[in-house]
Formats: sequence, C-alpha cells, structure tokens
Amino acid sequence: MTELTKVVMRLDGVAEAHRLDVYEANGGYKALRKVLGEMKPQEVIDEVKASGLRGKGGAGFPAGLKWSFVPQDHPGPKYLACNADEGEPGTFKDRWIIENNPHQMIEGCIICAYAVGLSHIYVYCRGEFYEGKRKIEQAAKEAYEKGYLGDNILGSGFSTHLTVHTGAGSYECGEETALLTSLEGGRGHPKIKPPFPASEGAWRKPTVINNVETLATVPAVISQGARWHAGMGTEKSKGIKMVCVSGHVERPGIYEVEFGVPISAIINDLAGGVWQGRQIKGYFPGGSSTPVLPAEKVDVPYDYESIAEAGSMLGSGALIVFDSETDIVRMAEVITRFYAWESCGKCTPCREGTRWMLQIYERILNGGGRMEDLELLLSICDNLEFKSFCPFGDAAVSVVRSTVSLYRDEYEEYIREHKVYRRRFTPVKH
Amino acid sequence: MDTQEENLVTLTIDGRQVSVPEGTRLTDAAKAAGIDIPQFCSHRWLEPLGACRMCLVRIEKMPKLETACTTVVREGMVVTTDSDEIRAARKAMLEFHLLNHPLECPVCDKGGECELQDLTEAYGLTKSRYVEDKLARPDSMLTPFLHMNYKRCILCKRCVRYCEEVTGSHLLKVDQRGAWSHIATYGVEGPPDYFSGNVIELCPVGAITSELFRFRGRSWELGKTRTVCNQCAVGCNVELHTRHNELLRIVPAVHPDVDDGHLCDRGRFAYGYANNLPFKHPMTGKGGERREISWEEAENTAAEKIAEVVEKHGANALGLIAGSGLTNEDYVAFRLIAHTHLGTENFFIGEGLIDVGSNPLAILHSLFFDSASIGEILRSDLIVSVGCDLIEEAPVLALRIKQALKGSDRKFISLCAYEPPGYWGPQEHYCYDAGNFLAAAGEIIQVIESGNTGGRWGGLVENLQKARTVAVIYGQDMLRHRNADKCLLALLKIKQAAIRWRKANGIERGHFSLNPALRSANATGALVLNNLEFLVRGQAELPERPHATLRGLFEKAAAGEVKLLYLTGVNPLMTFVDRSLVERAMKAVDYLIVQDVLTNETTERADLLLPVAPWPCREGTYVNLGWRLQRLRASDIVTSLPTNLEVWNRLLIKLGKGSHSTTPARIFDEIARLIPAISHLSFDTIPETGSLLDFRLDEEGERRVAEEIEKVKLDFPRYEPPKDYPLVLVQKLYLMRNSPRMRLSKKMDAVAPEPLAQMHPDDMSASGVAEGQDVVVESVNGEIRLVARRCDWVQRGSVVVGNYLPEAPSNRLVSVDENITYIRVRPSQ
Ligand SMILES: Cc1cc2nc3c(=O)[nH]c(=O)nc-3n(C[C@H](O)[C@H](O)[C@H](O)COP(=O)(O)O)c2cc1C
Ligand code: SF4
Ligand code: SF4
Ligand code: FES
Repeated sequence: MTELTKVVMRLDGVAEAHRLDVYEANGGYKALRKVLGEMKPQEVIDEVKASGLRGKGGAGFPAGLKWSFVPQDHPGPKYLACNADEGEPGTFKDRWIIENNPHQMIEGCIICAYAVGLSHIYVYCRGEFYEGKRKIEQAAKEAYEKGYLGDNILGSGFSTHLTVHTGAGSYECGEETALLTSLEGGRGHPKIKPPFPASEGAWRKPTVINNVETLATVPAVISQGARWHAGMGTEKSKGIKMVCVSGHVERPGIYEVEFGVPISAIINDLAGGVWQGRQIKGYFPGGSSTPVLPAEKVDVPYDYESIAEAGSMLGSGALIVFDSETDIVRMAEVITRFYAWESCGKCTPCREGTRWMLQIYERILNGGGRMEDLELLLSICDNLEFKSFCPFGDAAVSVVRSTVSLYRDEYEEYIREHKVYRRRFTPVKH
Repeated sequence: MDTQEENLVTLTIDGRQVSVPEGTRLTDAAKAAGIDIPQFCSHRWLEPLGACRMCLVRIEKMPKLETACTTVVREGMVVTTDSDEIRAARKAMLEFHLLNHPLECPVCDKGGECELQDLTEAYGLTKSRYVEDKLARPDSMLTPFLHMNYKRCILCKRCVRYCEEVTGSHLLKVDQRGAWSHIATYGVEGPPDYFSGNVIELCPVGAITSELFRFRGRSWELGKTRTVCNQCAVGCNVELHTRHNELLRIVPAVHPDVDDGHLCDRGRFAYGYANNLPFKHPMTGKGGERREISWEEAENTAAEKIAEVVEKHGANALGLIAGSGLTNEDYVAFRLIAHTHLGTENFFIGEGLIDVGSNPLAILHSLFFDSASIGEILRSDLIVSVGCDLIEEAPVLALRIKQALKGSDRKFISLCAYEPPGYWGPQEHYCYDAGNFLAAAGEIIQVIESGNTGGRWGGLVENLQKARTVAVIYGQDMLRHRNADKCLLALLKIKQAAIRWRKANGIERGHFSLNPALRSANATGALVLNNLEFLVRGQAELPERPHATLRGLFEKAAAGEVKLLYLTGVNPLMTFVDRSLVERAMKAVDYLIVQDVLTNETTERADLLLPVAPWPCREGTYVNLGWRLQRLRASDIVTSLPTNLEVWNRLLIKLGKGSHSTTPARIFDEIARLIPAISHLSFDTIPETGSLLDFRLDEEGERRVAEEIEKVKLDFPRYEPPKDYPLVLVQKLYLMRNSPRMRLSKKMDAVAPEPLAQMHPDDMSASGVAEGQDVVVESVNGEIRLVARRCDWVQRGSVVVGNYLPEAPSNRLVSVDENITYIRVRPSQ
C-alpha cells in the first residue's frame, strides 16, 4: 500500500491550521528562528542546495541553485515573487496551501528572503482565489504582529516585507516573466530572457520567483535537514510532491508522496482507482500542458526523469485521469479552447495557432472534419512548438500532438462518419 | 564630438565574419554584414519585443531557433540565417500572420509599401491552408486622423510601443487577449498627442492608415518630391506625394540630424489648404466691393500706387515687410528691391521680435556664433529650454530630446514663466515670475558668482556649473516681450558668468550654445537676411545702410510717415505683439498691398491682394533652428499662381526699375559669394541633407565677444503689477493654433486649442471666476473673451493664454510701450 508522506500537508486535518497560534503550536516558525539565530545566509542556500529541493511550479529547477544566481553585490532592492497564480488545469495544491497552511508558505518566503537578501516579498495570487488571498493577508498580518515580518525580524537585524498582489484572471500570468510584468502594472506579457529575473526581474531588480509549494517545503528542509529531504524520492527527483489527482477517479484530491512511487499506485491506492469500475484510457501526468500518456504507461514511476522518458512531463503535479468512455476529440477541444482563450496574444504563432487549432476542432466536432486536418493539426503543432515566445506555445500543442498520435482512430471516426458532438457548444468567438 | 571607446565583438553570420560593437542585436549585426533578416515587430526606434517571430535564426549550441532581434551578439557566436529549416519556419510564421489578414491588397492603401506583402511575395506563399472564418472586427477611428482596420493588424505592437516608449503619450494600447487582442485607445481624454501620425508608417501593414489619404491613390502612382516642412523652425524633411495636381499626403523623408523620421501631426496633416486655395486671381476693393481683377490690372495698379507715393512723399514713404515663412532667395530679392530699386529704408524681414539694433554685436553673436546644430543640442550634457514649451514651439526637437535622454545622464530642464505641462516634459522645472525674466537673470548671475547653491535658483545653477556642454533653446515667452533684446543679453551674461565660474574652478568646458526657437519655418533665415548688413560689413554689393525695425515701421505708418504698406507673407494683426499699433498703421496708410496665399485677418483689409503660389510649389532654401540650410523643392503640382519672385519682377518692370531674377538658383548663387558660411555652395550642390551653416567663432573671437558682453551695462529691474491689474499676461504658442493653414485644412479643427484663460486656482478665486466659466480678460489696452481653466502648471499671478486665437487675439491686450502686460480677469455677463 502506498503511503502518504505529509510534509507541506502535515497539518492536513488539524483544525484552524491557518491560524498563527495553531501553526506555532505545531512547530511553526521554528525553522525561521533557527535560520535567523544559527545560520548565515550562505549556509541556508547551501542547505537547500544539498537537499535537492526542486521547483514545484512546473519546470523542476533546483531551488537552491536558483537562489544562488542572485548577485550578492547588487545594492538592492531585491525581491521574492511567490508564484500563487496556480492556473494550470488540474492543479489545485497551491490553493490548498494558502487556504489551509499559509504560514508555512510565509515562513518559507521569509527564510528565502533571508538567505538571498531580499527586502520585499510579493505573493502574486490568482485573482479567483478570494479566500486564499484573505488567508494570506490575515496570516501576514499575524506574522507582522508577531515580528516574523517587517523591520528587524525577531531582533536579528534582518528586515523584509510582504505584499499580496492579485492577478486579473490570466493563466499566462503564472509564467514567471509575465507574472513580473503584471506585478509591475503592465499587461501580462512575458519578457525577453536574458536578462533572467535573478539579475533583472521586477522593476529591473534581482528577483527570485518560486512556486508556493516549493517555498512551503523550505521550513521542513531547514528543520529536518537536507539529509532528511535528500533521503526521500529518487536519485535525481529528491523529496516529496503534492500530486493533484483529478478526472475519472473515485477519490480526486491532493496526495503528498515521495517521488518515485508508481503512478498506478497513486491512482489506485490513494485516489481509489478509476471510477465506476471502468478502465483507464490515458492520463495527463502533469497538467493539461503535458503530453497525454496511454494506459499502458500507467506504471511509470512518479518522478521527473521517468515521466520524461515515457514522453511527457511531471509539470506542476496534476494527474488527470480519463476513462475508456472519454471522447478524446472533445477532450482535446476543451483543452485547446483553454489555450486559445488564455494565449496572451503577444507572439504570432501562439496567438494565431491556438485559435486555428480550436477552429479545426470545432469543425471536426460539428461533422465537418477532413482527413487532411490531422496532418494540418500536426503541422500547426510543429510550427508552434519551440517557435513561440514563451513555453505557453509548447504547452498548447501537447494535448493535440499526443492525442492525434495516440488516438488517431477516434479522430478518424469523427471525420469518416461526420459524427457530430452530442452537446451544443459555443463556437469560437468572432 | 563625443567619441566613445567601443568594444568590438566578432561573430560569424552565414560564414561571414563581422565585428560589431558590444551590445549590438543580431539583426543589426547581420545588416552590417549585408544580410537581411525579415522583421515585423522590430524597429530602430523601439525596444526589441520578439513577438512576430519572423527573425528566427539558428545559433550554434542553442537547442531551438532563436529570434535575432532579441539576441545580443556574443564573441564567437556562429549564426545561420538561411537554411531549409529557417525558411520553413519563417514561412510558417508568415502563414500565421496571414490567417486573419484579409486578401484586400488591391484596395489597401499600404499596397506597394507593405512589409507583409513584400515578405509574402518573397517567401512565395500562394495558397492558404486556412479554411476557417476570419476574425472581422469592424473598422474604427482611433483619432480624427487615424483609421483603424483591425482585420489587417498583425499585432506587432509597434504603434503601441511608439506611444509608450517614444512619445510617452500612451495613446494606444492592446485590448483583450490571444487572437482577440486588438489595438484600442484608452477612451479617456488625455494630453494631446502631437506625434500620432507617425504610427502610420510605423505600421508594417495597412492597419492604421491616414484618414486624409485613405483611398486617394496608390503609392506607386504618386509623384514624390523631397522638400522641407514649412510649419515650424525645426525644418523636418518631408516628401510631398501628389497626383492629378493635388497634394495627397506628406510623409517623412528621414533626416538623421533633423527629424530622424518623426513628423508632428501639424506638419503631416495640415496640408489640405494647398488643394483648397481661396484666391485664384488678384483682387481689389474692400469688403463687399472686393472683385477679381487680371494680373495685368493688378500689376499696373500696384505700380501706379507705388510710383505715386514715391513721387509725392519720397521713397521712405514706402513700407515693405516680408514674413518669416519665405525663402532666403525671396528675402535677398526683397532686400534688393526695397533698398536698391525702390530706395526705401522702411523695410523689414521676419518676426521682428528682437531688436538687434540696440546692441548688434552681442545679440548677433548669440544669434549666429553661439548656435548649435540639432545634433549638437541632442548630444549636450544639459539642455535648457528658456521661456519655451518646446513641444509646442519645436515639436520634433522636443521629441528627439526626449529620446536623447533615454539611457543617458543627459538632462533636460526648463526655465520658464510656467511649468511646461504634459507627459513629455523637462525633468526639472525652474520658474521665473511671469514678465520678470530680467530680474530672475540678475538673481541667477548672483547665485553663480556667489558659488552658493541654495534657494530658488540653486538647482538650476548647479546644473549649469556641472554640465560640460550646455545647449540653451529660448522661445516665445522670452522673445515675445518688449525687452526681448535685453532678455537675450541677460541670457548671454548668465552664460558668461557660468563660464567664468568654471574657469575659476578649473573645470573643463565645452560648447555652451544658444538657439532661438522662432515661430516660423524660415524665421532663422529671415533673421540672417534682415541683418545682412552686419554680416557682410564693408562689402560693396550690399551697402551698409540702416533700415527700420518692425515696430518703428508700424509707428511711422501710424504717424502718417509711411503712406503705402506692402506686406508679403505676413499677418501682423495676429503675429505682431501689439495689435492696436498694427491697426492704427493700417488705418493711417493710403494704400495696403498684401501678397499672400491664404485668407487671414490682414488679407481681409488689403486694398490690393496679390495671391502667390503655395509652399508645395516653391523652390528655394530655408534655414532651420539648428542652422541647417535646406532646399525646398517644388512638387509636380502645376499652379497658375506666380511666385513671390515673379510678382516682384513684374512690378519692377512695370515701375521701369529694371528687372530681377525669378530663379531661386541664380539668386542663391549670387548671395553665396557674399556669405562666408555658404561660399562653398551653389544651389545645385546643396546636398540632399542640406548644409550646416557654421558661424562659430575661434577662441580669439569668442574672447572679444565675451569682453563686449562684459561691457554691456544691463539693469535687472523687477516689475510689480498695479493694484487694478494684478495679473501678468503670459502668451503661449500652441502647435495646433488655428492659423489660416489649419483653418483651411480638413479635420484640423478637431485638434485646435480651446480659447482658454489658464489660471492658478488662487487667482481664480481672487478674480471670482470658476472653472469653465466665460471670462473677460482685460488690460488698459483692450479685452478678449476666454474660458477659465484651472491649471496647476500656471504660476500664481499669471494667466497663460494662447497667442494665436483668431476669436480672442491676445495681442489686443499688449502695447509696445509697456514692459509687461498687466491684466485682470472677470466673469463675463
Ligand atoms: C504558461 C505558464 C504558466 C505557468 N503558470 C504557473 C503557475 O500558475 N504557478 C507556478 O508556480 N508556476 C507557473 N509556471 C512556471 C513558472 O514560470 C516558474 O517556472 C515557476 O513559478 C518557478 O517556481 P519553481 O521553481 O518554484 O517551480 C508557469 C509557466 C508557464 C510557461
Ligand atoms: S507563447 Fe506567445 S502568445 Fe503564447 S502566451 Fe507565450 S508570449 Fe503569449
Ligand atoms: S496597428 Fe499596425 S503597428 Fe499597430 S499592432 Fe497592428 S500591425 Fe502593428
Ligand atoms: S522581429 Fe524578431 S520577433 Fe519580430
């Protein structure tokens, strides 16, 4: 039986865990006290590096390494942007953290700020997270009152501040440089890299950008040590991950596990297996942006490397399962619609290509497909992928390319039989 | 010249080695190697964006294709810009651009000069794989001049970035997201955008087109003539596009040292008058009795009247004035006719704002020898506008200064009676009390000498002391002043004090230039040629003989000494400082001849009206405010109207006074012999980019002039308002002033400034007037009616009024006999 390893979710089930007193009663802010009292900033960075902690926002970049890129001799100010924009379809872990355990994220932010020398923390919160935003603000207020935030934190001489900034409902604003533009008050368009945010980020000042879950893991890494963290998971994917299981399973939810457990075990042991006793047809291992994997690949170990080897990505940890009854073309259309609507519109291939693909899907679902549409879709994927300005374009083609390749027969059936999708749906806006 | 040590980076592009300065973008490096990389979103005026993805190239060791426009060169980089893979990628990007693009090249204004069309052809995209519905947002008007066709837009954002990065007007933005993104305005009343027209050429496709030009002609059918804009003293280079004897549009001709390709909206759009000339024939008689007459009759009448006056009252009873928008060749001929052929000393050329006669050496020194070219101004460490709202008075220069500030330590500050308002403006503001520039100058000099930099002028003085090179541009608030010559001397003394201070403190100094921003296109040329006697002192061809000042000329006319006034291209009722003096003069003279193009207040009063060919039909030269001599070229429009030279020549013949050349080239070549600064030129060898007139002095000359200025005794009086007229009138020039050219050009009324009395809130309450209220502004000389507007950039104690409001001419309030115009404001009943 697969076990949960609760680290970020250790207070799951504890009543009122979002309150400072409850968090403190459960060992909260001990890591911060330890860092401020006993560790030099560089030691904190080294510890996080040694722990093997990787970013949980999608790319899996080593957190300690990212922190070490910030120039130490820069006169400042330098910033931390905590990415709480969580927009990836299928992902709902950051929301759980900010609503149920916000102090752990804040503690992680402060530790990061201390380690890297950041004078201000911006939590960029998804606009629709009404409750989450209030919970963070409430928690920050408590932290200020208790002296965990503000000037001269706990008498250490170190100061940092925290502001919550809400987005206005755009998936692309979760991409780190678009997030910065939005934070600065601009349209949520990504920026040219280089310069990278670590040297020129928000307002052209050095900025660290980390995901909520990444930062919420940091206090545990400090309290229990790099060795403890590095001892979990696999050789290259160390530690734990909150997996958001959704789709056709009996018990959708968030399950925090060590890297390396088989995906089938997560689905069957933790999420109660495919619902209604049906068979699994395939799944997205890391959210709608990651290529679909077929049922045969359900035993792949849950870690970055194994999933990549299987042809997909671990992404943000959203495991979306679909059963044998699923209409693949319709599913791909729904997700393609998401990308067409969410494309920020900055660069031509993504702006035009996503809508084009959506139009083709709608035509197919309306019974007007042509066999050559499949080659056309794949060709559009080729022209979009790696040619757009930001990784959004690559994300948008994942579902199209993978489903056309894996379930071509379903597409062909639609086209051959002029099948019409049974529900009416909104055609593309003109 | 500032020579910067540049580090070179060497890289290989398509097998060719190139060395370019550090920091160069790959697209520019390729260009240096003679390789063209297609680009839609990039533009030399704008920060790179990386949006269109047309410039994809392969860079060794990079996993994917990279956009050249966003890539900075690195040592040893190996780049491929042409391969099957790259061509396929670009073709794919073109296909994306064309998805929603309508196939309407045959009816699109951009056809023939469209970057999308060119590249589509180059990449041989003939068939579309797109069979879905295109997006079709209906067209709209972004501004009265800019027509937006959304379907054609490829969302390169050049237009938006121009308004953000270059002008700062924030006129445009992108609305919505993804494929539904579209260009929009903010829909709120913002500060006026004087440069909006530049997005027309900037737009790589035909999405933004000129409302005035739309559907009027195909680009390849147009006659194209390079000439110089005649709307202000910057002298932007433009191309006149004509067809069927009509001027259809004006586009920039791109002069790197003048306009860099930007035009202001006045220069670009206010051309309709040329196709809508009010006078086709000479006219005689006033008011209802006015009738058209033949040229023969007109010439005979003029000659008779002139001969009669000379016979009865002597040559000095003739008063001749030429306005500041004529060509240098016109001025030379005008002088010769006035002086040699007619023999009157009552002639004048130009705006007449500065009376050079009071101290010729010092003043001419500042006008000629102290000047800088536009390029030099832009390279100066410190740029100071004095008594000037530069965006209104020299718009493209203001824009280029704004650009020159970007990413440099250069500073742009203002010393004025108000804080020039708006988004584009100077970084620091120093205000003198309205009308009291002289008093302020006295204080500033004291501060410089004391070395003590606190107080009101401390910051200004520190700037003057610190900067190695300083460029001062002074404008209307200093020039439109009875004491303009004294103000200029005061400015010279400030300069000398700063230089002395630096010398005493062992600080190296560079050029400290002074340039006037005069109102009209060739006001600088007019100044030169009005004062020719000082320049060619001692040369036989142009005997040194004093001639009248403009004020003196009007005074003589008003006093009945001048009997006949002959005005060419000048509307003194609006442009001369004192309207009542002009009115008295016009009333007193026996006969008024007006030679002009468009209807204005002065042509209305003419006894004899001689219409001449408009600017697009003129040949000759202008001198811009940066002392660049530039050629005006006539377009292919055939006009039945004569030029100034032709009218004058006919008159001379009728008068039996010989004849004069009607060819500008001949006149130019003659005058070139006399003026050292242009003696190396002939009309036909003036380069396309013009020629800088270098009047600069050598060190010895500078020392002599400095001594001369030291010697000038100058008071720095402070004037206080009388109790019953507690406010000071400040007249401000507005770019979009409702001048005849604007009135007779389509659509320009939409941007004309309102007739406002712009006031400090305290003065509004003290005067008992409210925001938006109709008010009477009065002085001892007269009154005008305006609308009160609260403005935080106006200083307490002053009222800022547009100086060219036909319905409320501010010069009605002014008398040449007063140092300052004191006024009061009251609600109108
Ligand atoms: C289109 C797009 C959307 C993204 N959305 C999010 C998001 O909602 N939350 C997030 O943490 N990271 C998101 N990312 C990843 C971020 O760019 C960035 O890699 C991450 O925040 C870094 O934090 P980490 O290193 O802690 O994972 C997104 C990336 C892309 C390309
Ligand atoms: S790929 Fe281009 S259009 Fe798409 S989200 Fe990124 S920048 Fe915007
Ligand atoms: S209107 Fe023209 S310049 Fe502006 S975004 Fe569209 S194509 Fe580009
Ligand atoms: S020119 Fe490089 S992306 Fe547009």
